Amino acid sequence: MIELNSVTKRFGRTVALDSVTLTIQRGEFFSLLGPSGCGKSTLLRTISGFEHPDEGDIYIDGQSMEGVEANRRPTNLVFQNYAIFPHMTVGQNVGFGLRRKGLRKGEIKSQVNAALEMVSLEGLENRHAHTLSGGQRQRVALARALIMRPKVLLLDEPLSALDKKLREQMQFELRHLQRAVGITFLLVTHDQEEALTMSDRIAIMFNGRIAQLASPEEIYARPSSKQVAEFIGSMSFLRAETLSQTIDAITIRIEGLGTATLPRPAQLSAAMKKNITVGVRPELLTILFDPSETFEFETPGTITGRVYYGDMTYYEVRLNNSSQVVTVSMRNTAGRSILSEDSAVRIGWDSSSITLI
Amino acid sequence: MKWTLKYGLWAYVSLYLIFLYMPALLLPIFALNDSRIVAFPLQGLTWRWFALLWETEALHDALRNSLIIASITAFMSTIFGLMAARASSRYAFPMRKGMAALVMIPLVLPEIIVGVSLLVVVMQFGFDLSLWTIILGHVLICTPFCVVVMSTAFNNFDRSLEEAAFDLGATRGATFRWVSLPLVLPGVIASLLISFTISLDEFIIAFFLAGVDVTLPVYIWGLLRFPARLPSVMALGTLLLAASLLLLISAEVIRRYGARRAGTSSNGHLF
Repeated sequence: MIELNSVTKRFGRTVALDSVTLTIQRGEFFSLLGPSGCGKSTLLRTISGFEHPDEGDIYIDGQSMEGVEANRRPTNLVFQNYAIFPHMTVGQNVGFGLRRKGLRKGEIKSQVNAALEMVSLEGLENRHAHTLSGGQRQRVALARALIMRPKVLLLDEPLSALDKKLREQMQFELRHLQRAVGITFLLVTHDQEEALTMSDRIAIMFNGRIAQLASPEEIYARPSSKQVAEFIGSMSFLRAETLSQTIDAITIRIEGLGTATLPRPAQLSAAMKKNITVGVRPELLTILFDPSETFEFETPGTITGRVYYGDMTYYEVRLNNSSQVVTVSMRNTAGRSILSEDSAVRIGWDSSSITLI
Repeated sequence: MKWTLKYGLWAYVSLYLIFLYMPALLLPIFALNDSRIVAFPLQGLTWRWFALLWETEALHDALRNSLIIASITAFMSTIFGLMAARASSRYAFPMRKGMAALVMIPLVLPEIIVGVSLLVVVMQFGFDLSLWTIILGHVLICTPFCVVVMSTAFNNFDRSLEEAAFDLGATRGATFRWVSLPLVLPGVIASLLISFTISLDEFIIAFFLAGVDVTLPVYIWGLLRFPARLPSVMALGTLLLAASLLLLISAEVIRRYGARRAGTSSNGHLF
């Protein structure tokens, strides 16, 4: 559907895109996730035709985009600030592209109404653009782009200007909208939550390169590098030592936690080094509140800090016999007290709590 | 101490304003004064100086020349200003800042130098002095003002609006026609009015570059040699003052309306 072949883009001496190769499937909700300045927006603008690659090719539906200007490409862009034409009504904004195509007035009107209905703005076509709220502006921008029936809808940080509540609601709506219209969505975001909740696949970018490309579950559970692991979710990193390894299992001793045998992950085919780092997600560890509770492995520790989130509490626990600290998240279920700092606790874990990086 | 400072400042401001506007206020007073001598005490109310203007053929020719020159100057310098402002606010090219500065220099160049040097050039090329040579000089001095006004207009709207139109399949021409132009239109109108006003009352360049057809300011200067005509010059001055004020006020009103419509704050204004 969209194919990028070693696309490179430089601005002066900085390399914004460093030989990016990528294939996006038809009908997919694809996210480019990365910190600001990682090249994700440049990649989006290169696909939309506002930037031209210094090297490499872009194909959309098998057609080379070389020499094709933005106004001739089967892509439409939802701008970060929405770029609503301030001197036009909602209807004129949404119908702008169709009017340039020379469609008849009646045809434009019915399509505009359908598009507004799709984004739940029916009846607002005569409102002036500058009277709209942030959320409404975003819907207008979506309708204005979707009415063109692009092969790919490009979204440049579309939710970053909205407040938290509206953002969470729009995450669901965007996902439903994408399913309903069946158009390929390519979303650029620096917000891992947005990427995780909406995407079929995520490409994580650092310094103009794709660090990992996988499904949200895959990226969260098996980050390909420490950099990816740090960027997605929260993770504690612990020093460990490889004791022995076979083709399908690795036995390691984790400093302060203990010894465990883990199945060898598919992507780790080479022999493991002796000194390694392992990652632990907060929700994969548990604090054993009840003395009668037992777990496959148990490690004593001391609480050094806590953050209360209402439904969850995040504890920082220093492992006894070690300087290493892990974060443990616990659901605040009925009757469960919030532990105070300096409490001695037992941490329960098993081999599935540990991620080899 | 505080008391003296406060009233001292008030006195300073009052004197300054009186000095600035008193002479202009004298124009209508003497234009309506029923005496050939422009001096106090006033002799009584009359409209006859205005009536005299109505009957002077040469004045009508001068006024017509001035209006033709001002209209063409306003049109041309606004087009130049539009192009220069768009280029410098939308495109990156070598020497962009240097060129922007060069365009602005006529703003601070003494008009007498512009007038004399243009006269030399026109003579060298063997052109006859005409309304067109005056237009040439006026476009030169008006364009920097138009560039300032149009740059404000272009910088006040977001570049992504043009990109959005282009992305939605509009050609470059259609993008300009349906998005850029409507958004800078208040700037265009303000620019037209300002350059029209500057051209209308410009004297030095018009004096040097005029052939047989003179402009209104040059005609007025000629009248000053005849003391008997002085009251009608006052009447003419009154009309010009009123017209200039009207034009400048409408330019500012339109600019503010435009800034509000584009949803931006009204900073970067000329007045």
